[in-house]
Amino acid sequence: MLTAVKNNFKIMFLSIKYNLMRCMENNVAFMTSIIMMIFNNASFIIQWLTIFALKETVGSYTLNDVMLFWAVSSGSFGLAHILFNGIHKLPDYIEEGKLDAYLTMPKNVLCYVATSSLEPSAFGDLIYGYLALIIFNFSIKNILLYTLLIILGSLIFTSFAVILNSITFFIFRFSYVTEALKEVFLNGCLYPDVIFKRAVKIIFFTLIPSAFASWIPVHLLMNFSLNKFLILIIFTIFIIILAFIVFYRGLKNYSSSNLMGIRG
Amino acid sequence: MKAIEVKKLSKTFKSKTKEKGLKGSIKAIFKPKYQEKKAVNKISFEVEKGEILAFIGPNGAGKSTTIKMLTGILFPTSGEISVLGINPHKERKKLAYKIGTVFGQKEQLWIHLTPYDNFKFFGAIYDIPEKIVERRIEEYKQIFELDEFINTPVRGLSLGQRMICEIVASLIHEPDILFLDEPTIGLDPVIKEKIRVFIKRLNKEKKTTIFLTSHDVGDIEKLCKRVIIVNNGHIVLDDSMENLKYHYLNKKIVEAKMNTKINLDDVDGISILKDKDYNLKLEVDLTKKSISDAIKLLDPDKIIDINISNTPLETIISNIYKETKE
Ligand SMILES: Nc1ncnc2c1ncn2[C@@H]1O[C@H](COP(=O)(O)OP(=O)(O)OP(=O)(O)O)[C@@H](O)[C@H]1O
Ligand SMILES: [Mg+2]
Repeated sequence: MLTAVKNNFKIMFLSIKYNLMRCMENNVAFMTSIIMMIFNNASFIIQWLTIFALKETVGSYTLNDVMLFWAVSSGSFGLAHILFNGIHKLPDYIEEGKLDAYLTMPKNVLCYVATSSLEPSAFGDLIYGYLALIIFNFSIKNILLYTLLIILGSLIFTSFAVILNSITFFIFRFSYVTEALKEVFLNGCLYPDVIFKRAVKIIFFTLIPSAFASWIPVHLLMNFSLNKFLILIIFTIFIIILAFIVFYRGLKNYSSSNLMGIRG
Repeated sequence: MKAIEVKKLSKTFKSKTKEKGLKGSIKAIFKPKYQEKKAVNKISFEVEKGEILAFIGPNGAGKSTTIKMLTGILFPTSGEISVLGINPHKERKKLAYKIGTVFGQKEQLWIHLTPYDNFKFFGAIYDIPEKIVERRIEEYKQIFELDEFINTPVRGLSLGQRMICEIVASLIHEPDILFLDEPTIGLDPVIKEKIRVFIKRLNKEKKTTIFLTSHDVGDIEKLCKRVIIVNNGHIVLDDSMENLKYHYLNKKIVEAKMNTKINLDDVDGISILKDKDYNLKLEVDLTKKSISDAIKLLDPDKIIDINISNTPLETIISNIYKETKE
């Protein structure tokens, strides 16, 4: 059992390593996409600088606090797209019958699919996350805690994506809806909780769990509480298990299409 | 224990259908219509260890669907499967260590990696120690003369080179059963022959059970001792290659070149397939007439050249396909 888990991790590491090698085949493109992503994220600071030029605080948050939401969100998002980008290709794999190659391997399909792809620009998100933390809220403790929190965040985001993308097993061409919901999730993460109404907050704590990926981690960085931390851990485990259950239920419906066509 | 045991295995695909055009698409949103397709319909068969089995049938017969159920890719709608004593969809991973799969129409290699890195990766996937993987790669490098392209990323390989790499990758863990779904599709005769020779050797030396589908009669004739023919999701024939030929070998083809034109009419047991100028082609049903009857009919004195042959396997098979079409 333990060796099986170890071997699964070995394959995941190996996949990520090979993906990295692929990115580095074209170093110029790789570096450019990273730098572009950092600039892209940074351009959103202007919006907040403008707001804080007019007002001291938003809700009770200062500029530094708001930047924590950005740091946590882009860090988690970046990590998720570096480690588990394959999950976002799941709808294509399902519709085009590409899961076959993963299903004939003696490894966990979901883990193997997750690490089968890497988005180069996601390094830009990750670096930006650390920069935002260092510039606005530097402390060694923060950096360590932040690292742990974005790992949890990336797992939550990935699990959420697994659940959404598994719907493709039942309904083809569902990925448009999935993409829109992921967008909502991201927006929920990026904006400080204080600006949302109660009803919307409830949604972000349940159906679209941005609160766990961003709000709670941000509060932990501002003010650590063991209770909140435990709730976060429990939720992470819960959503990972849920993702596996939903995925494996969906897999029974996998139809392995023989797609050879060029047009989708 | 048998290599494969299948009982009343069925797979039904449900797919949405729609009427033509945009109007049909809109209609399908509000009132979706589903069509059921019985791709595999209650088939039962067994395969012994060490056998080379041809699992053939016309396009859409259900061959790939069957292989996908045997390898744990697809969940069966009903029926029982045991591959090496393992139920594929209950213990998919356990089975995966013992079987290899090659789909001629789908790739499993990482396209941006070299064959060498791919083989190493597959070795890791099957938890094989690196030393052993390297030894096996070396072995296959000799057999298939991989030197030329073992360090070229897969996307730069020709179809034939890629297929050979797919086969090597699927054998890196020395499986007990190898499933091959149209492994020679689109390949030139030289590579086809190379693959056949190799499969035969694999079966002989390592006792690997081979489950093969192909539309190439050459593959079947040269490799397989037993044939299962499926059509429309049903098994229509399950017999040895010898019986298949023998059964249909009661027909002979007589081709003759004559020195004068003669006029012939079909007689019971001898039918004229071709009659053009001085060339004649007859089919003799040996249960009714003998070869000498046919020669007498032609008039031996007028024959310049004669050739008597068996019905080609290709014709035998395509006749079975047609007869069992429903
Ligand atoms: N994913 C799918 N969804 C719906 N129908 C399918 C699917 N896969 C196969 N079918 C249908 O099931 C039947 C059997 O298909 P299958 O691919 O098993 O045929 P095959 O014997 O492998 O044919 P070929 O020689 O052309 O490869 C076909 O009628 C096909 O249209
Ligand atoms: Mg097929």
